[in-house]
Amino acid sequence: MTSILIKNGIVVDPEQNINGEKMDIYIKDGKIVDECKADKVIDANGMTVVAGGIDIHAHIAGPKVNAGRAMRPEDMKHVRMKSGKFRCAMGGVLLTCPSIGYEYARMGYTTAIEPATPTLYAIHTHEELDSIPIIDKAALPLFGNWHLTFKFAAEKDVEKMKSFVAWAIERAKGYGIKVVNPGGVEAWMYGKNVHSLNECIPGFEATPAEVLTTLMKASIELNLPHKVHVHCNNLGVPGSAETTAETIELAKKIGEYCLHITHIQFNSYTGDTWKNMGSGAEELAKLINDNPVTVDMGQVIFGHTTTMTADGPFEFALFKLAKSKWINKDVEIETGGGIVPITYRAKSAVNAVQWATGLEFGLLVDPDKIVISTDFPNGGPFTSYPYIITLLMSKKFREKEIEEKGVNNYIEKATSLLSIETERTFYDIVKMTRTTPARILGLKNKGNLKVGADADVAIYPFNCNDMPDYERILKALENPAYTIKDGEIVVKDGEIVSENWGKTFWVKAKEQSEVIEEELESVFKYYTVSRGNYGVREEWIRRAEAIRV
Amino acid sequence: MGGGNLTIVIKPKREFEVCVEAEIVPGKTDFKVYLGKEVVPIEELFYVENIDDGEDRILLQGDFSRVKWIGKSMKGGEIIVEGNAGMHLGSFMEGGRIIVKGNADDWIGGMMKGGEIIVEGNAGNRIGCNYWGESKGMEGGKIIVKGNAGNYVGEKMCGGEIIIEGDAGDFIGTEMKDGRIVIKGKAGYTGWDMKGGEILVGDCELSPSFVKEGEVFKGDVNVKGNGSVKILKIN
Repeated sequence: MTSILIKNGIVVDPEQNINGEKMDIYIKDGKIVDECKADKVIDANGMTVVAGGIDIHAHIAGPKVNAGRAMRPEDMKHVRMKSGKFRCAMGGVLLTCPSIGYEYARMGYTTAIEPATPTLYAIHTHEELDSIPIIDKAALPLFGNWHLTFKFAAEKDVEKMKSFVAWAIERAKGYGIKVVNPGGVEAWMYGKNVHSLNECIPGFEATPAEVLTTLMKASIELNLPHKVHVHCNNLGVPGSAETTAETIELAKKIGEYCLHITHIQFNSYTGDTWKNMGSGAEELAKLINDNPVTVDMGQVIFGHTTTMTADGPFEFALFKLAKSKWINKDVEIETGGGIVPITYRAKSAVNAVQWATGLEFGLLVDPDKIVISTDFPNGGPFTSYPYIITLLMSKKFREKEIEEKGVNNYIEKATSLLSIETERTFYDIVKMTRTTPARILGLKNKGNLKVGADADVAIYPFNCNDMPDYERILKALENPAYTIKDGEIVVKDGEIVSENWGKTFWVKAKEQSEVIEEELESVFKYYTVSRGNYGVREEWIRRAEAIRV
Repeated sequence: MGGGNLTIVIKPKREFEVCVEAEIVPGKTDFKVYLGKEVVPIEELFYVENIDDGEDRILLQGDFSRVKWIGKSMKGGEIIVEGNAGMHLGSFMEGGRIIVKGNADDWIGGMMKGGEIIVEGNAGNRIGCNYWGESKGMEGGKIIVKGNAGNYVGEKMCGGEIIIEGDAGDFIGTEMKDGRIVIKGKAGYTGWDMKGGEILVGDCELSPSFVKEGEVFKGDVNVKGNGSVKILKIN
């Protein structure tokens, strides 16, 4: 492995409170080191050096991603790169596995988390993650609609819940707890949904609030690096802001940090019909800043995309609105899922509010608490992160986009975007794309440039102490001068120059499955799937890295 | 590169064992020709002769049945295929005219928006259809097939006209939204999930979800469609 010296770069690393200092960075054996003899010197004079970006929430692998690809041949026929030295990369918004790795690296991102994988299908998710080059990755198994989760939540039995979570995460080689519409997907199996946190889940004694509370407590007691990652109830409907506020209240009661609310934009609408829907971002941003929770944006990008979520009832509602194709999936006693292609239109009042709401969060929430995301592919392609960053950094660019795209002027009434003067600094942006997601995920060697951290580095061709205009920022962010992954230069001037294989992180929690042995036995006695069907072995994964807690 | 006021005569240098993709379009001389995944100069596979006669025309002489994508996205001018033509003839076409003296293969006029395609022999399957996954098929223009056609004529068609003078196969006007299909001979299954537009057919197996209104059948009622099918019953 070569050693690299990045000379005279302007470093931004909020983890070490470094804001635009001229420094040299040494890389050896895939790690950042104090000093070493460098085989290769990169002259980064006048360029900005930051850690590799981290995407905390992007559906990049698993059965539903694959089903989405099969459902959108018209999107998949777009050729990004022909095979040659590297593998062929295809896809418009949805991407093939090689395409995902290359596109992340091409914008200076080096880590991405697949946030929803049914434990039963974890093997598929890992097969796909293993086919994604360059980036490090991890998968979050779904817990919000397991029958056993409901049982332990109803009994308020944190001990058993802990044991169950540890068992399932170990089986799935997962990284944390994902909860999607707790109780709602179970209710959907009877054609229903749950509409509030305190409504009883059909067939069980538990409520969504109890499910969340028990899981949050379990995540704290297990000392998981990444706490509960939740897609709230009532997602995507007017009035959802209220449910989100109640969910934040639940986390507040616990008293310590244990909740990450994902794609918050989709969960922040006020009003009671689509006609009077508005943005609840202002109030929610205050709540988030005051309480121990973190969020990611879930920004909407105008254009077509394919929505895919474990939230089956929501996808059905969307199918009714969009009148396009629809896939529904029932993963027996675990979870469900749905896929619907849609188009976000700037002229549509609802879509315009969604677009503005995401940006409001990005501008109002403390950068230590919010991460940039599009909930790929639900809000749009992750390849538009440079665009989102530029929108957050320049009010002039926001005004230009509103003007040029003809964004529906209903946003003036329904959101506060137009009155927000804030322009994020590059330091804030580095927090929102590197430092904060690394902290939320508990990845100590990521998102910073400390000695000993993983040598995932992005070098952008602009000087962050003398910010250029928005057009040049956008161009620079889309074409990093270098992306270095594990100490190897993978991108030069926005093009892939070599490819390597990233790690798959998983959490090995202390397993106490004997506590729930009886429950597991009783489930598998009557279940159509046998216990042997659960489980991914570590040696099946290309570069598994266990994090023991 | 120029083109425009030339008649370009193109002949294959050999018989192709594997299909060649050649986006031969009037108004151009730098055609994109693929042999496998490589782009090759057109002279490698074809004899090309330019005749400066003031016409915007391409003459394809010889067997083009293994040459795909002739006239892809063409906007004007004329292509005359003197033998048979391969798949995807005139797909995404916006204007101009293509005449095929022999037979045409599958996918002629896929998602075309304008212009005219005339096939004097038979044509294959999926005439004026959408490509996989797309929500709109042919949106405008005209396709005339003097012989017979295969399965799938005008799937998800949104406009324009398709005329088949012989017989056609199954799945005529499936999910059709607008436009007109005329089949002078017989056809198989017709009208499934039709939402709008008009089909005139000599004889066919009409979807049972159509309601007779005067001389025509209206449907498909399963999708609250308002298409009309007229069966001419010529023996």
